[in-house]
Amino acid sequence: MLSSIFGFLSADMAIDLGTANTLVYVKGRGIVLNEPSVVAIVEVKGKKKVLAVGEEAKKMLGRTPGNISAIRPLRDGVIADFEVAEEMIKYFIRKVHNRRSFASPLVIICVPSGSTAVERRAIQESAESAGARRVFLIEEPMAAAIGAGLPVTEPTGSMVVDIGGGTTEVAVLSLGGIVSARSVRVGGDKMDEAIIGYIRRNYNLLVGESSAARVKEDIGSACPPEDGDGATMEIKGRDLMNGVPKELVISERQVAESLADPVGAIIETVKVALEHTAPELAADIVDKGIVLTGGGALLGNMDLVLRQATGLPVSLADDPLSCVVMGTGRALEEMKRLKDVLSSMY
Amino acid sequence: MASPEQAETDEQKRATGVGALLKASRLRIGDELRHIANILKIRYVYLEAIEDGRFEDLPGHTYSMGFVRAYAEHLGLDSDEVIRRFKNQVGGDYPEPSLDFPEPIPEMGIPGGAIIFIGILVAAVAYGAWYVNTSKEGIIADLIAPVPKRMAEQPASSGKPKEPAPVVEAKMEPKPEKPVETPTETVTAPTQVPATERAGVTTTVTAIVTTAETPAPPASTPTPEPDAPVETVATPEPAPTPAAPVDVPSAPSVVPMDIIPPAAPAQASTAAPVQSASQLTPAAQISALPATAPKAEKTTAPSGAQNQIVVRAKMNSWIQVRDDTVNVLLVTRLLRAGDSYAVPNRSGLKLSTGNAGALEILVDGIPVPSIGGEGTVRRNVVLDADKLKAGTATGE
Repeated sequence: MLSSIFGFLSADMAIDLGTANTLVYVKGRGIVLNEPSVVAIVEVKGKKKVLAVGEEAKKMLGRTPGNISAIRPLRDGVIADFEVAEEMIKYFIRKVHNRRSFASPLVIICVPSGSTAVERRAIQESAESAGARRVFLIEEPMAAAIGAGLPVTEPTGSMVVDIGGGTTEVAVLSLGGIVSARSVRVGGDKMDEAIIGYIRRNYNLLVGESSAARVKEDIGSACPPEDGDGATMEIKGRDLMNGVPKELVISERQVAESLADPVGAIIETVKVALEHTAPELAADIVDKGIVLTGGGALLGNMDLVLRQATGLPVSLADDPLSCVVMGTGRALEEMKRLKDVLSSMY
Repeated sequence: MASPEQAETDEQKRATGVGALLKASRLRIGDELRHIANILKIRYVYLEAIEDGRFEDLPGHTYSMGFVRAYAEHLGLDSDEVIRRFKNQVGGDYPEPSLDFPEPIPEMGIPGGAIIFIGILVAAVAYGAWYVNTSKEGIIADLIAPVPKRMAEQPASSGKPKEPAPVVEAKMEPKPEKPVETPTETVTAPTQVPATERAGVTTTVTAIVTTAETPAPPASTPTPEPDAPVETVATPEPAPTPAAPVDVPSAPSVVPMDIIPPAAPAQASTAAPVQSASQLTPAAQISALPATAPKAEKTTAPSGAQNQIVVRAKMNSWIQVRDDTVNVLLVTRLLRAGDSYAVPNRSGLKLSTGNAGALEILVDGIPVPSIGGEGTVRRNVVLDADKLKAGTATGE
């Protein structure tokens, strides 16, 4: 009764608190915010204050003077810097939840299925102290599957692979629950690191995270092109030998080579998950295949590699970047019906 | 079910739709569907269904889109454009899958509404029962109230008639010839009430009986036959006086019975002269214990009678009077300001009080030295007229 009044007065929201991007879905309004999970903190007279959050802060990443630090409060899908994460959530809630609303919002946040109780609690508490009236958690693979439109409540197995910024979640779902799930802390970030490492090793050039991410997005590929070097791209950084800035042209083949490790880890995780799938569900999955969601799914040829590795049809979800938040949003919209997929740490 | 036109448009759609486009592209390349199914790992029947536009045969919207996208990409088509067309073609045929989570089958056959209704019914019945029960108690209480009357009948059966209100008597009394005497009975008797509850009730009645009788005859016949007063009075008198003091403390219930006999003859004595009345007074004072009327205290002390000790409260004060000889508690009560307590004429009575200064002790109507200051707790004050007068009552 009371909750329905609060629900009427407040703009309840679903948050995909991702390592790379945070998306916010507001009940009845859809996705209203999609910003990088970056916070710029400035130190004024020994006091830390938020300078910028989101896109603006991302531009500062790796370009800050001594008194400013651009921080990504989430690492591997979980909160690494509690206070900064809280500030970030507070900022997003304030931005979305206009002052006209009388009650503080109910918030559903998704958490990696492999996260520990401590990590979940940290996420819940930071959301609560950021001004949420009530916080519910939803496991990312479930949210991704709902968001991708899979028939998760039917007695049929569905496999979803969500490659996020920090983690890759592989799960088999049936009858509204997660039958088996595997989570590996490999995602977009690890791919960036792999690219940085590859370039440093082979060309003695140190490139920044943002540059590496841009390379991955533009010419990244999970497998090398069949012939030739594929597309090329210029990348800038600092030469480690003589310390001067330098520019380098990198090819798709090189990037694919550099990404072999993280992509291999993801494939391995999917394989392990399949190994642990009950035969009936495996039979369903053979028919329907795997659905790819998350930013990592946009990596070139990712579906091809997975298809070859597993021998299963691999479908890329429509708008893979917003699957998780859409699923979380659906859980918010249909909270009564989907209450079983929501949890709370206390 | 579908009209011929609709079937035609469906057929048309299929002929020009995404399936046809994909099929045409495949045929242009000259690829085999089975070969593509092998590469894409998508089942042959699904690819066939896509080409024939039978999207309802595919496992679900998400998978259909995935298959179409993969197929289009394999054929080198712009997958985004193909997907856009596919969505247009499918339209609302693929609503979001409704997420109906499996719910456990309710264990009981009774629906929730029935349970609520039964619950309300049970609550109503319980309340009704409680209400009836409590209201019955009320009736019982009403029945209990007149009990004193019934008890009053007891002495009436053994003795005499029923009472009017004591107040009336008090008013009535002065009217007869000797006002000074008669009130003494009626008034002093009341003051002694509390000694013992049960005894109090019955004795009140008896006291009233006597007094009730008294006024009536005098009013009608001012001085009737003084013929046999001596005997009648003489008989009752000795009986109560010795009996009362002894009986009241030891066995209160006996008291009324002892007193009743004197009451009966009392009516005879009422008509009788002053003497008899004055003789009666002590008896009544000793045993009878009615409820109120402290006013008349001053008149109490019959000048010629035995020592009469009256404890009067100037302020609220708790008192306790014990008979130490037989170790019986005569009274324990709170005297409110203005209340008084006539101490029975007996030796060996001791008074305890929580506020000695609030008490005024009168012996024969004359105040004696105070037994203590205000707020002083006094125990075992000997209620002996001489000692009180001497001020040594507290000394022991």
